[in-house]
Amino acid sequence: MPHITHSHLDQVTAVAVAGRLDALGAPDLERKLEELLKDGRTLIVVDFDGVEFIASAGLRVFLSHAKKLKKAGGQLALARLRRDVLGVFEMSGFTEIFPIFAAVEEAARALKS
Amino acid sequence: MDTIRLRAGPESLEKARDFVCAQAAQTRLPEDKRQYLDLAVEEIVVNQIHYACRSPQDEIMIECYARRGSFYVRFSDAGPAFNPLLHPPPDTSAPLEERPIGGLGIHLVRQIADRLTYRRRDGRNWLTVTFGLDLVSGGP
Repeated sequence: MPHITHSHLDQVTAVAVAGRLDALGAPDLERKLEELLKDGRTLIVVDFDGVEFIASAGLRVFLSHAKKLKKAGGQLALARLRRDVLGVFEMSGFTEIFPIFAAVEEAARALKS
Repeated sequence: MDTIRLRAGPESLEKARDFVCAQAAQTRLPEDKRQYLDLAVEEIVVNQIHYACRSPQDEIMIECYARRGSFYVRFSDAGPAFNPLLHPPPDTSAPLEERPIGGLGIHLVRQIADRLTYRRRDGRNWLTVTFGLDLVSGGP
């Protein structure tokens, strides 16, 4: 199961994920993002530094949550993706719909502006 | 050629991955393709568990073999006939609001596999994914 923690950078929340975002691990991330949305956190950066693998089950969580955040006036950004994980986002056309950054702080700045 | 039979439940995902990865480790499959193999096993077995099999008692069969410079993984189940190759690919250029949730798994497999073939035979679905082996450095 992935290890998921979060921290607040002003109005932006950074969610750090470590492990595999596959069919077994993706529901954990979904629950965490849901909890944060219930608390009114609508500006989210997901820190991918510890993510070693992503499958369509993981992609679905991002797509579904990005739609919810957009309705709530928020946005989802991604940071620090490994090359092969980024490759899966590219093959899915997801690099067109998610802002992707090299650093968490950079992503947080973009969400605030 | 080695074969594994698994129950169609989520507990089988890790077993399927371990089996296929152990089989691949005996071949000259390049490192980048091992990542793709991991992804292909996940996507195909998830589809089998969710769509092809009606109960966790149903069985998934996976066979691995290396032949003529390629590593083959053949997934089989007794679910309703479903040829994923006939499934239209998702629109990967649509804006966020119009992206459907789902349909991405098989799209990914089609992109990463060197070859993907489907057959319906003996009342079963047979989906075979193929990855080319590293022939330059020898091996099976």
